[in-house]
Parts: sequence; structure tokens; C-alpha cells
Amino acid sequence: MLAHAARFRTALALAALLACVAGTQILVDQYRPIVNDEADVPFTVAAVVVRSFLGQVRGLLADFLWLRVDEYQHRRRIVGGDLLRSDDEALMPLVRLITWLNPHFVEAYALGGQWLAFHFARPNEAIAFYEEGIHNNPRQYDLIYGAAWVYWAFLHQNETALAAAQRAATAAEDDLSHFRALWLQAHIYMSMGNRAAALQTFREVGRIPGYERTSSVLIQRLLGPHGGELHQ
Amino acid sequence: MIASPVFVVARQVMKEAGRRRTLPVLVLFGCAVILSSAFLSFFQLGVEVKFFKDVAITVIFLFGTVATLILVTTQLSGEIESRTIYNILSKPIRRWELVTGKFTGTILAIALAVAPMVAILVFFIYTDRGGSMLEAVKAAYLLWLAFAVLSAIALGIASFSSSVVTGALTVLVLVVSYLKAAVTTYLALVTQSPVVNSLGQAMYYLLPNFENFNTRTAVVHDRIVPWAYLGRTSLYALALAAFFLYLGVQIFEEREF
Repeated sequence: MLAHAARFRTALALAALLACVAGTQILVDQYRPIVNDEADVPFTVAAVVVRSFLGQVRGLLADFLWLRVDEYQHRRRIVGGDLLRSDDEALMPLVRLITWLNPHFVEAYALGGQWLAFHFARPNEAIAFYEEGIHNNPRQYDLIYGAAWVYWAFLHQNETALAAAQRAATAAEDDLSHFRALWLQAHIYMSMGNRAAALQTFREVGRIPGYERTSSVLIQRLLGPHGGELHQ
Repeated sequence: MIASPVFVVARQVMKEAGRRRTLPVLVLFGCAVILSSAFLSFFQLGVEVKFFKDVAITVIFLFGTVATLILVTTQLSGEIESRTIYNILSKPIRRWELVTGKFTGTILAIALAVAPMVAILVFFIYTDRGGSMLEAVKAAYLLWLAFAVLSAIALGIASFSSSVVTGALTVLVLVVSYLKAAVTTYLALVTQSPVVNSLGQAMYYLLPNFENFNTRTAVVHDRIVPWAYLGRTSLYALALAAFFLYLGVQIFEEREF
């Protein structure tokens, strides 16, 4: 009888402790998105499985894969007078895996988007990749600027490209990035046939410290006999 | 002054950890890996800093986990296998004191083991790597909580199994704690059954969740881990450790030696 009572007490205590575990997990979950916003990233099932299997090692693996990607993109081999395409093709799956493992790996998103658009001529996929990167890293200049470029140069969606270029200009953290965003913005305006807005944007370039001369050269080229060059 | 049996056992565990050489070698190896990663160079500026923090935190986690497993599996199960448990239990010590002492000694030894690795991380953040030193220390504290929970789980399992089984089952619990995210996602996708989804939810809330102790993203991307999060995670670790230690003590009490 006493043994039964002791067992019951033990079971009760264990159940109470388990309830504490569940309760504190609820408390932790309330703060989890602040600490690790990867919790809100809409991963595919494949990505969830890969991430789960790798546990806490996934960040490190993403870094090591990036080393490989870095090597591929900087040491592109030339065979028969042309770039070795097998290196390029090996790069994209690595980039995809890196972004699964670490959705805040902005460099991987930027590189993947750029390669899809420029090397593989797949602008729609590039935009999908950029947009995924922007969704996971909303204030990252490189991604917004890259997307703006693809919208403008490849998809010819000037309105969307302009909106993205304007967002890139506000997300720019240094003068060079700010200049590049404004430069793209002006060129999108010109593609839309809005030379006045392009001129205004080049004037805005002059307000960036150290870019006064660049601004006047750009304005001269826009207004002068060679202004047509800027449409190309 | 008569020391509490819990602390006597804890001190003995720490002495044993130093004497066995496994722990110091692991610490040296971990420190060497972190130090070597600090001198890797990349083509892109800014990647080095992220890489260094990533490597340091992952190395602390990996080496801490291995050290915890080695320490705990050689404790209770080791004592039973080598039959030194008879000698210990013949002394005026209660079984719960023995288990609690082993746990205390293990988590203190682990804290001492990871301290040099954390010191290297903080040092490089201070000198030239950038970021917040406090956030790195917070991340290390949360990792230490993870090791404490892992120790409690291993001790709970060790109370009824051999050292090899203890090691294997503890690793299994660790892997399952990460895999359960995949399982719950999969269940939510493939079935609309409320019973199955409730089971998935129950699994999420009741099984240990080591992801709670992972603040790598915050440290690497220079975000602040709120103090409230640290407090809540500490409570979570306390509840989990208490559950497994209590379970372990109850099983150990029932065993006959």
C-alpha cells in the first residue's frame, strides 16, 4: 500500500515537472522570434529536414560552404577560351544550401541572384531568389539593389525597378552604395522617358559628400550632345 | 566543518575530470580550432567576423557536448560497471545526494572547460573582430545551460543503463530534440487530423528543445538577446534538469546493489 502511494507521489511529481517544462517552453516561445528570427522564415520541408539534422552545426556548415563558393566565383577556370561552366553549375546548389542553413546569409542571396540573372539568363528565378532574400533580410541594400537591377535590365519592369531602387537608396549605409542606387534610379527614369526626374536624381547625387563632380559630369552627359549614351 | 555530501561528490567529479586528461585535451583542441579560425582570411570584408563568431560558438557547443557526454557517462554508469558504487554507497551518503553531487560536479567542470574557449571568443571580439562582448557571454551562458540539461538527461538515463547505452541514448535525445521541428512541420503538411497534430504539439512542448539555447544568429548578426529571454530559458533548463534528475534519483533509489 505504502509502495503504491510512493509510486503515485513520484508520478504526480514527474507530471508536475513535465507541466513546468511545457509551461516554460511557452514562456520561451514568446521571446524566441526576437532572439532567433529564423523561426519566422517559411522554409520548405526539405530545408526544415536539412536544418533539423544539422542542429547547431548548420551555421558553421553554411560558412564552410561559402568558402567553397568564394573559391569558385573568384578562381573561375578558363577551358578552351571560355569559362568552365561546370564550376558555375556547382555553385548554385551550394548557394541554395547556404541560404537554407542560414537565411541571413545576405552574401549568398546576393551572389545567387546575380549569377542566376547574369550567368544563367534566368531573371525570373533571380528575382524569386532576391525576393526570398529580401523577405528574410528586409533592410539589406545588396539584395534590394540587385533586384532593382534585374527588374530594370532583364525584365523591363520599370515601375517595380524604380520602387526597388528607391528602397535601395534608403537602405544604403555608405556613400558609394547611395550613389549606385541613385545612378540606377536615374537610368530607370530615362528608360521611362522621364529625363526631368533623371536630371533631378543626378542633382541628388551631388548632395552626397565627394560626389559633386560626378554629379555635374552626369548632368552634362544627360543634357549635352552625348546624352543619348545614357539610354543604352 | 563537515562538508555536505553533495559538494564532496561534486569536488570529486571535478578532480576526476582533471585527472582523466580527456577534458583538458578537448579544451586545448577546442581552443586551437577557435584560434585558427580567427586567422582565416576571406575575399569579402565582413565575412571573417561572422565566420569567426560562428566557428567559436559552434566549437563551444560541439566540444562542450562531447565533454559533457564523456564526463557523465563515466560517472554513475562507470561507478556501477567498475563496482566502486558499493564502496560509495557504504559511506553515509544518500542516493539523491550522490546523483545531485555528480550533476553539480559535472556542470561546474563543464563551466571551467568552456571558459577558456569563451575567453578567446570575447578577446577577439574586444580586440578587432567587432560586436558585443556581453552578447557573446550571454550565448555562452545559454550553451552552458544546454550542457547542464544534457548532463541531467544523461544522469537520468545512467541511473538504469550502462555507460555505452547512456551515451547513445543521450545523443539520441539530442538529435530528436532538433528533429522534432522537421517532424511537426511534416505532420502539419501531410495530415489534417487534429489528433496527429495534437500529438506533434505535445511532442514539441514535452520533449527537450535544445534550439532554445541557440542564440548564434543573434550573436553573429549583432542583435541583442533580451535579459527576459535569459531568465525564461534558465527556468526552462531548471524545469528540464529537475525532471530528469528526479526521474534518475527515483530509478536509482529502486535499484539494488
